[in-house]
Amino acid sequence: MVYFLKLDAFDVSLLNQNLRELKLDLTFSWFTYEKLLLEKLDSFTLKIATAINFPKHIKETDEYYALPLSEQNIYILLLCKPDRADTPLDLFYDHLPGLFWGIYRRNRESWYLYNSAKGEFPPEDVIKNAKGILSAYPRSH
Amino acid sequence: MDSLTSEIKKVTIDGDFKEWKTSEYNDFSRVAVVFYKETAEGPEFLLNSKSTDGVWTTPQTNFHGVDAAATFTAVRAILEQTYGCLAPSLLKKVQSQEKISEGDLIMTEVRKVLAFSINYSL
Repeated sequence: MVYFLKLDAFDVSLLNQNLRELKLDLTFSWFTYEKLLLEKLDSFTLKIATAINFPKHIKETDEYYALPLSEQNIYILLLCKPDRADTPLDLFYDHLPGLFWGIYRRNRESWYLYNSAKGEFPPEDVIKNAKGILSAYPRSH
Repeated sequence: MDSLTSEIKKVTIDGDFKEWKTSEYNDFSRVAVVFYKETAEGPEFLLNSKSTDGVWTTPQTNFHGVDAAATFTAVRAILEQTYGCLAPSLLKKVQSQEKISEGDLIMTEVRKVLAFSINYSL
């Protein structure tokens, strides 16, 4: 399983300098895909980099998200529980969406999250094009 | 029949024996996270390395039962291997020439304990 996460551009030399000063043995560097393949990589990174054309995958994923909703694979996760006020993290017992995304979400699928307890409901165009709706609420409700 | 059998995973949960079709959920044993940025020439990828081996890598780790799902395995890999230094708030701090402190990072205490244990056992 491989996750691609986009970061804002930043100067790695500044980060590396900070990490050196903290005596952490960790160095970062940016690589183009072509240059990356020429480097000494660990076996798993080499395996995924040769199996997946990273730039092509990113381009195709961007193209997928630019498609009209009717051509996307849409799933809705509807939570039905208000956030607790006394804790900074309680997205239904500390990140239920992360659990569903991790177990079920696949490549080129669009998952939308709404919490009906906070008055959030999917708009009509999302419902119309949804292939599935998962609803989750605590036992006490 | 063989292909059908290979899609079934036999697991025991709380003493109950279950059979799951691996096609119905994300079945995986290892997760890697590839960080990238967009440039005018195309995407560039962020790799990290330790001076001890000079090998470039991505945050990655094996699934542990405690993770429950791939997303949490990915988060654990990022935290264990980058100490949270790629958090947007810290990158913003670094870019504005501010110093990040050990207190800004995550799991550096764990790293120190592990390093001490290894040194001590030698």
